[in-house]
Amino acid sequence: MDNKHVENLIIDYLDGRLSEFDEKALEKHIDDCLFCQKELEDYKKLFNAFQSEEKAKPSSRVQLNFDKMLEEQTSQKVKIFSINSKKNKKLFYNLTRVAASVILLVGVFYAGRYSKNKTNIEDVVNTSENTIKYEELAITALIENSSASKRIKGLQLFKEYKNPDENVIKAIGDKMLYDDNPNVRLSALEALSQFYSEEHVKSFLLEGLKIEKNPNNQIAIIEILVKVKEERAIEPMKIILANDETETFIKNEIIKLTPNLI
Amino acid sequence: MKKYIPVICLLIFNYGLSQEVSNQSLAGIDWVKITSASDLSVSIHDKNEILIKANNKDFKLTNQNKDLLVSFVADIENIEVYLPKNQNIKIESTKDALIYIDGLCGEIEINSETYGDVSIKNVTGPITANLLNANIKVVFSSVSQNLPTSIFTTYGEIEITLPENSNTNLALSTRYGELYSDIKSISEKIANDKTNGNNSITSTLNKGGVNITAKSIDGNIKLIKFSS
Repeated sequence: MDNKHVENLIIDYLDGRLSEFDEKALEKHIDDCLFCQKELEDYKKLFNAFQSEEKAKPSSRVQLNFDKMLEEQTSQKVKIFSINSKKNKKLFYNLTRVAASVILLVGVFYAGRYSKNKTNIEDVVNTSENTIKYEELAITALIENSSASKRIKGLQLFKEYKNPDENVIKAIGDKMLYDDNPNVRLSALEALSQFYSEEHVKSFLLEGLKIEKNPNNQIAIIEILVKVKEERAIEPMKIILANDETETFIKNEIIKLTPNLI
Repeated sequence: MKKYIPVICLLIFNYGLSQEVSNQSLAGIDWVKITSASDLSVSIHDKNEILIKANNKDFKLTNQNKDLLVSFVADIENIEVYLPKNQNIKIESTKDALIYIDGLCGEIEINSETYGDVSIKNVTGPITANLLNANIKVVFSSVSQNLPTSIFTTYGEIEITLPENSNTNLALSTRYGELYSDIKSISEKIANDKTNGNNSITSTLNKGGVNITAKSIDGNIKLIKFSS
């Protein structure tokens, strides 16, 4: 640890999650390292902002920028954040100087990006549990992480939501369709369970019926569309039945589930 | 005797090649992403580097942003990869390659559309695995509470071994296969739900905690208690 910067461990350190041995080694390193001292100070400011500004609201401009950024991110099939790049750090430092409320918003998002290395984002979510909007932003950051298990974690947290923002639902619909990991796609499908009967979610389901190739996921989509009695699913199902590459059990399930429709 | 000397030399030369060791630092690397068309064994060591025991011509290393891509060609024997304990890895198995992983505590992602079985032991999770035809066995030495594990197969069997005192939320389901557990509370839940026509259970183990999901279409799912 003496010769390497320890910024990846600072959040765990502040949360008291390091072993006694690691904690002492980190403190010893920070005593001698100006860079890590600065990192520690920045994170302390950020954590203080979480605690003191729980009810702060982001400005409409910040929300607008976030929505735009979210749209850009969800249009990409794979999202990889490079948190150590100078560009991102500059962005982080500049934003933290604006105001405590902005620090809060950006901090949650930045922490989400940072979490692909070491951070447990659930702790960040819990820290701002009184502010639903920020939780939503943190969850959105999680589902854009490069780690599949973190994306699934974000989707499982989202499942608890009652009135999420429409943009977040769209981001999750895109995950259901285009994420490169089939487990994440299925988790996104399950995360949308409380909205299956809504028209825009049905559109995602119908598109999924056309493009999904993983058998587990195909069956799940078919069952949901039959359950919500979506008649527009009949034609795509006929195409699946006629496709020689379709697994036999999927054909059998379609016939079993839709005896009167097809 | 003389006529055998070239053959003996060739054998010695080949043996030397098979013992070839390559290493590369993992400083700044978040994920090691391996694609393998040959059987592969991944273990841990105490250095912050990847160490590969295989002939140099049989694999390719590429740095891509904060990822290290490793690609092994087909039909190689005895590939051994060593990584630091907390390294995140993503493995894609092709051509029925068998995958063995031992001791990693970082995140593990596995995708396979082949028949190559996967065996993972001495891990803490999280694991995200999706297999088409292959079986998968996972032995948790303890269960990390940070992130969920999800293991899905289409035709393959799933066997998960974990300490009986683990705090987890379990969701196990198989469409045409069977559920089995030697953990009393889970086996009772399986028996109870089966009488109601369900081949799926959701249950908490002890106080509940991190989510572990196992789903299969046609494979059996076993939940076994860990005994050291």
